Amino acid sequence: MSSVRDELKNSLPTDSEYRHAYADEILNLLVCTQMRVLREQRGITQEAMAAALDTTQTAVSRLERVNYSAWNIRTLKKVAKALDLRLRITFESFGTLWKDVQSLKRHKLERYKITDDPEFATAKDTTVEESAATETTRDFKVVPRPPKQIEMFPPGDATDIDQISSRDSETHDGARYALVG
Amino acid sequence: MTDAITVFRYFGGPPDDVQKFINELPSSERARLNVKIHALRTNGVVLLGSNLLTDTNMPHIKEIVVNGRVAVRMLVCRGPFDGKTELTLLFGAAERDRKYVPKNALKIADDRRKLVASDPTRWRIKHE
Repeated sequence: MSSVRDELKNSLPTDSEYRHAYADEILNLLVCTQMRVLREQRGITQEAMAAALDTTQTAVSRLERVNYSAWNIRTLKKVAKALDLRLRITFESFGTLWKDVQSLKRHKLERYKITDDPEFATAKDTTVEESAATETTRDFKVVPRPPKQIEMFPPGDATDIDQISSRDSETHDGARYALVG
Repeated sequence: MTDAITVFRYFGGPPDDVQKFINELPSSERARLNVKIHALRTNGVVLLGSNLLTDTNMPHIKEIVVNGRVAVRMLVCRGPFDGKTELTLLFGAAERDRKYVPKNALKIADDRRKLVASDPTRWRIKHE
């Protein structure tokens, strides 16, 4: 079975008009799909996005539509600011087009919020990680706590159970159990 | 890398008119249509379906829209057996003055969908 990559290997080098149209269309598709994915990731409605961009909900809907191609860098910068992200633009060779085709998945299009970005983990978190590392070098052994014991009792043996714990319950088959701390 | 869904095309015997329609499109429109088919094939319909597959007036028939020198309308259906893993290209049409060319494009597509549903081994082939 031929893959999309194989198809592009055959078609892109031979036809200039084809490859430029292909690249243009994948760009449109990436931009509109990522705008929607990022807005949804942040739980922002089209109305709220419109307010941030000082435009209408209809205009935001149009921006997220796959057949819309009239966006410009100024608009994209505004969108990036509204999403608290940066806009990056690079020139690419055609050999990477198939990777763009593969990247139209939600998890590949989502981006960290500044508060979740591991690059900017707080100083406090870093201290904890560093001190943990120090303890490891001191041959600190972590001993897992044993699981809580579950003792089974025959039905009707309430006296023993009451003595052990009041946190008793009843299983599906009628046997009673108690958590022993 | 494995594809997320399998794309088929209607095949009623020679001429293979869906493939012929695609091959005869100008380079630019063919590229734009292929991007959408490739994107669906590679990534599935969960994220992209709502945006790439537009409803038509005919139930079960959707269209992939390409606007260029020619307004291409590739009429398709999800499935028809498993809407999450299959997509079938049924008929290639154009649009002029908000009307399909040919006028009965939707009916042709729906008739083909019914044929494919009746015997998938006879009426469709894998689109690669």
